[in-house]
Amino acid sequence: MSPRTGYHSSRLWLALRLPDLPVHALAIDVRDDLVLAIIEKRHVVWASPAAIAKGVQQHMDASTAQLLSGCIHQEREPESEQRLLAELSAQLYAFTPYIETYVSKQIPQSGLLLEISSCLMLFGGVQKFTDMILQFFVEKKLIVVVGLAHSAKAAWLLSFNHFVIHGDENRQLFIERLQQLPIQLLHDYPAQIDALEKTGFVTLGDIARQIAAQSISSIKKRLGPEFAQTLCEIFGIDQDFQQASLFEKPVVMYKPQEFFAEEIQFEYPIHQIDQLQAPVEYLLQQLANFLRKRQWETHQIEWVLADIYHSKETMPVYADTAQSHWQLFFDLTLIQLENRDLPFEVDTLALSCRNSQPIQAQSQLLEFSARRKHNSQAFTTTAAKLKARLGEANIYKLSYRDSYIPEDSNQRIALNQPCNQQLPERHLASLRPNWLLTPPVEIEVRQRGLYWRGYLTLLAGPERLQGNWWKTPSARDYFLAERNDYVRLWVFRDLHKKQWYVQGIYG
Amino acid sequence: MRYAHLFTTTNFTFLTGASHPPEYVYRAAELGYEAIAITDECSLAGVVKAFVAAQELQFKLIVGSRFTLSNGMRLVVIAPTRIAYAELSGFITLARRRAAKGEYEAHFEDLRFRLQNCLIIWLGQLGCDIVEPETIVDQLYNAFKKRLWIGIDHQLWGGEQEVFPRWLALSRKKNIPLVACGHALMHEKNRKPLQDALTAIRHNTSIDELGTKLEPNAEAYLKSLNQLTRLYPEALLEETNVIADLCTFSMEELCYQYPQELVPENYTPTQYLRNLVDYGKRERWPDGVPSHVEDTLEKELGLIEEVSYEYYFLTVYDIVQFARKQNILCQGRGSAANSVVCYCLFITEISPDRIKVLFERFLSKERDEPPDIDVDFEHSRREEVIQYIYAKYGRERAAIAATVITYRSRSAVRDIGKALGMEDTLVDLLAKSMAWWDKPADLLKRIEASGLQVQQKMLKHFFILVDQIRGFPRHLSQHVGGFVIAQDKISDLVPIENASMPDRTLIQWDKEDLEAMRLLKVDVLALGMLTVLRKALDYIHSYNPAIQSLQDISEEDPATYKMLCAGDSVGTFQVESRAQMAMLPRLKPKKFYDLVVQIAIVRPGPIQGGMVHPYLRRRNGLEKDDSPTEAIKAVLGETFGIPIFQEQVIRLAMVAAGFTGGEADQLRRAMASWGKNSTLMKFEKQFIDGMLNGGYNKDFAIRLFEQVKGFGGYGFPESHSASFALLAYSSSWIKCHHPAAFYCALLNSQPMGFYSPSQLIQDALRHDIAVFPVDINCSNYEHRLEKVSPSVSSHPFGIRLGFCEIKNLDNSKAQLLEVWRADKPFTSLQDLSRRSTLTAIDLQCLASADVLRSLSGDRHASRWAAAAINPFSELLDDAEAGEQDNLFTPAPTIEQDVLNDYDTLGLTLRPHLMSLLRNEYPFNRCKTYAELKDLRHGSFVRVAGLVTGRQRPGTASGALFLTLEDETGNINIIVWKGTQETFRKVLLTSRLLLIKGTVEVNNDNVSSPVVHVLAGQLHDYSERIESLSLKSRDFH
Repeated sequence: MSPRTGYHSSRLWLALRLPDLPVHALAIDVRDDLVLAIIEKRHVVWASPAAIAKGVQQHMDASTAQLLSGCIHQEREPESEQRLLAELSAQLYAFTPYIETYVSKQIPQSGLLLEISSCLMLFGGVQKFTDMILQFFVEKKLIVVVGLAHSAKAAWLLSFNHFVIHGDENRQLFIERLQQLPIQLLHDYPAQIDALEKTGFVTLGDIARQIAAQSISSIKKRLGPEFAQTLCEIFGIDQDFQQASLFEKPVVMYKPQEFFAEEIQFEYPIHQIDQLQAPVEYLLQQLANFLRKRQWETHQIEWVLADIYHSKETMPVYADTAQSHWQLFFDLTLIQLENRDLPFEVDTLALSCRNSQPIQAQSQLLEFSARRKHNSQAFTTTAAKLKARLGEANIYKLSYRDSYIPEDSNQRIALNQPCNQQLPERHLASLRPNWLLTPPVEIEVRQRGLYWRGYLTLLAGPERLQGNWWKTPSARDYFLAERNDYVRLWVFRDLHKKQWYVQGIYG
Repeated sequence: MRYAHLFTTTNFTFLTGASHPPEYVYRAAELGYEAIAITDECSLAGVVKAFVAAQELQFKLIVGSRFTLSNGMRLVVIAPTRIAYAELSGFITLARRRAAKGEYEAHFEDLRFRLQNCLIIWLGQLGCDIVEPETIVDQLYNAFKKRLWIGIDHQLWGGEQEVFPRWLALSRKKNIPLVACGHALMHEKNRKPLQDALTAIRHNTSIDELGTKLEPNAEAYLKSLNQLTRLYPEALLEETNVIADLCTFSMEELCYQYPQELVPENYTPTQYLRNLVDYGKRERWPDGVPSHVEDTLEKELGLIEEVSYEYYFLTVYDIVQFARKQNILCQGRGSAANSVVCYCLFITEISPDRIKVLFERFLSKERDEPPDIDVDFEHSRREEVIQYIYAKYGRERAAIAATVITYRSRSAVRDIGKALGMEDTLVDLLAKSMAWWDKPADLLKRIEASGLQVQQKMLKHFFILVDQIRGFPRHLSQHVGGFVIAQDKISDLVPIENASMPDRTLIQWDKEDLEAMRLLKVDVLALGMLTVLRKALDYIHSYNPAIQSLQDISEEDPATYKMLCAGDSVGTFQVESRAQMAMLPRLKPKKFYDLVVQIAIVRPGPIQGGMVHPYLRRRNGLEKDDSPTEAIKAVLGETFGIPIFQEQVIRLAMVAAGFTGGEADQLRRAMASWGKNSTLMKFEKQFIDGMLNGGYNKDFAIRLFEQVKGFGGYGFPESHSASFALLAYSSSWIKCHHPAAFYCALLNSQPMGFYSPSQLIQDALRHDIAVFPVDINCSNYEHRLEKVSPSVSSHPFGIRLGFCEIKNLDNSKAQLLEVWRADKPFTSLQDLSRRSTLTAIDLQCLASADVLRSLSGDRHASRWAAAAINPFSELLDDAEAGEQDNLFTPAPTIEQDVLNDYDTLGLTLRPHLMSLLRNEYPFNRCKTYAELKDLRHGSFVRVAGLVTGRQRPGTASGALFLTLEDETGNINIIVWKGTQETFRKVLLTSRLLLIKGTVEVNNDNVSSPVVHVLAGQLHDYSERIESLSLKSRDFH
């Protein structure tokens, strides 16, 4: 007996479930003998066949899995999974514009849902269409299981049971197939599954029979309107008898990611950088308009210079802080252009920007002095310009790193990272020079004593630093020394190597 | 050169000091120091341990403590005299009581008035102190004058030479002497890695992340005198002796005063105690006291008077009297507890003719040690006793002893792993592997196989550090019930600090410390079995008024012993474990003393000492008692020439090897610490030579000493065993004659004992006790007795299970169900909802537990109906009532019901799971527990059952004991080491096991066959439990 249905939709959904998405997303080649478990919150979410053979199961505690199989652990990366699904959506856009992504919060199963009714004629029917899709995944070397049904949720559920697609399936058949499925497949509703299990429901058919006998309201009353709505969508039930098919929710259309790309073709080839200034400014203004309209900003743009012989040269331009205005990119572009000669006579100048983001809501200090703001902006601009001129790696700042070993007590950090300038009490109390030599320089031991560009006399010390036994043990006795030209030095004796070094010079 | 070390942080400044207190003392003596001060941070917790070591070496110990005040000043406070010690202890108490557990708060303002006799070493550390020294020096000098020093601590930190002149100037200007005060965090410098690891644990991070929070070098250790002369000017070293010479206080001076208000006016303590004993003995022996008892009594009282322990007995008597008045069941145990005095004071129930009490264990003048009486109370009512003690003596005079929580293997692995920055998974793997059967070599192999990246070098550090940190104190916790009660303030003796439980305070010393300091401790312990006995006696009294207390239980009842001989002891006290149950048919107890032996013999000591089999053989007349002399026979006669109890070892040492009472007691102590750093071996020669001198042959002497060694730390005193045997007998008697009351009381006292409620109910059902399900209209919160007709059971009472057994049901609501129901049963789900505050979730919980069957049908229907119940409202009531909708799923099958019973109650009254599976392959080929005893010894067998127990006792040479439950009983399985390795996964994870192996049936010299199965192969069928509910649906 089928549940009472109120409307007949002409839609047809193809669910593409990727059971191995966690491992596909990590781009791991799963060989037969690879004993691998993918872990999330210290529990196994996916295991390779070899790991399963050794007793690893989903939801198992990671340590137990390790004890059982000695498997390799890999942390799940939901962002990579999302990226992969987005890439697949962009590629499947060639087949149908109606693509939705399905991500479960309860189980590591995700996939795509395609509404295919409007593109069947183009691709020669359901069977051919499905074959093409499957072929697409075979080429991608991705494992996919499909489900076909009258609604997105029903198609997703049917993907859990293998039904061969012939192309002549109808909604009656879909409902019959759904009725065979266990209720546990409604995994997004764990509390409701538990309640249903405890009242004797085993399959979706049991639910269908209950609805047929007592109407959906008996379920709704007990298990909530959201769950009842899901059941209605699965079984295609019109809850309110309001000719819902007339007001059917429109299918969400897949929107490919928007990006900016424009180019200028010149009337005549350009061979001087100066001549590029105006077109660069124009294209950047176009970009700024594009970004402003969408309330976006970006860190990165890319220029492509081309000539009539298909030669191409790309020039990425980065800014440390995201920009929605064009001026900084303009300056940075010109600096980069000045650093190089034009590789050829430029016929086309193209600007693209693929990585943009919504403008971040920034809290601003109530700053009455415009000067400070101006200074900070000027520093940002100068730093960005310096980077453009000297290269990313050559612009950095130093930050204190907590360590006793002088050469380990600072680190290079990016300009935009917060800097640690808090020295611990112990460093403040001891005598440390401002100028450190990295690495320390060996001191000669001559007959008359220690010699480094002159003879040294030890004035105070030692300060003994000893530690790092878990990595490379170090033991040093530091002294304040004076050279015969009265320059004061910070020297140490390495107690392991029995060698003297100069570590720093006092100003 | 003379030198006293004045600034020592032991591992009792938790997670900071990296050496034990005795290690410092031994090292200081070795280095030729004059004295050492133990100065833990706001604590005297490690002082007693150092004192014991110092006494042993005759080395001078100085008592002190270190503080960081709220203004940042750091001080070492030294107690030179007894008065100063009391001040210091009081000051620590004040600082600790102000702050949360584990912390303290001390202010500069406190110092002046509270430390009027202590010596103060002001630890200068320029640049780091919040207060500039020059600004505070006058205040300090005015407060302490000639008791003030400036401590100079040279640790090669850099800058020390530069600041020294400033201290020197200050010292000269104000006339405050400088003293060398080097800080020691470890006794030897090789403990630096451990000290770093402790710092990492304290900061909850890895050493790699600590940076300058680590000590910069490994200089904080006890240095040689040569090294010291290179570090400090001679005058500063000399000054340490000035301080040491001022310190005349020794911990020996701590004199304990017993609470004295217990003795009425016009009585001396002796008179009062004698009065009470006289009154008691007339009650105990109404027909006259036997003369030998009178003699013992007089001897005991004489000794008590001589060593002035009257107050101790009176204190325990007072507590026990309170419990008796409140009808709280209690029983004393311990060496002194089984004295005639305690019997007359009604502290114990062991009459002197039941066991031989060793007088040397009772009280020894030579030992000069407080007697040992532990009193067990009903576990559910012990708090009343504790509150009584607090109310009577006040919190200043009564406090709970501490238990030092130390690192054990697993916690050591976890904390050291984390400190070394090892991966969580690896640490987890290491911790879990240690608990099982791996050797380090296997472990390394497993780690390599698991693909975890770990450097060999790091693992080497890891194993060394884990080994070092084991036994290190982690924090102080409350002792289970050891109370110290004093006449005056306890804080004069030992600091008091806050416990984690609100309104609880504890002292900084543990049981061993109290023993070493000879302080009185009364153990107010909780014992679940006493609760069971109290409840069972109440139930029995309700239908049989003749039985009201333990005294009403008939002695030496043959039926009870018959039951025990059959190994039928599930739920009874002390003799219910698997090992005890296997021993009962072999030992065949027939009288009280047999039970005393039974309890003591199934212990690691006698098992490892190889005493069990010779004892059984001799008991069964298969071997003769070979005691060569009458003297030995007098000691070991009761146990057929085999030493079973600690007391026998002491007696033997005295009788046969010529030990004095005190020496014999030292031997007992050495036995107790055997295996750690025992001094037992030093008694070997004395013992054997003594026996040879006594005319015994060498072989006999060696064998006897081997048995003494076997006792190890696990020997069991006869006095304890006798007290336990009394409860074992009482519980067995109740089980034998009033089984329903017994099981009902046991179920109502959970959690306790070896068995789960499910196992207890299976046992009850096998004893033909009618057990009725939880029912909304019949059950109370607790389980209760229910009268049954003879057609239902051979016993007049059955058990009605209570609401307390329902999992996930709000406890307060479960208790109120009885109240809401009052006298009128609930008539419908709506009625139940209307008369209670149960929510739809609560109702569904009740429905799932099958409690609403009488109101709304089976589980499915009840839950369906409960899910639709809305909170009661007057307005909607009628309208809602009409809106019933039926459920169209089938009723639950028996299999589903059984599984749901386990889910919701943890037990079932329906058929056992195994009986549901019994007709299916491969279970249809398995033997049941009931069939095993009829099989031929050594024959092949298949058995299957639910895994209810996994045990791996240290005494079983690596064997693992499994218990499988089927519908007829519990099958005992032995899995040898090789089999464990092969079936590791199955052993770890399975819930339903099928085992192929050989059956061992022992019918020789036993009162009923002892059966176990030696496992050859193990097969996991756990998935059959899961599939049971779905599969069974097919044939309905």
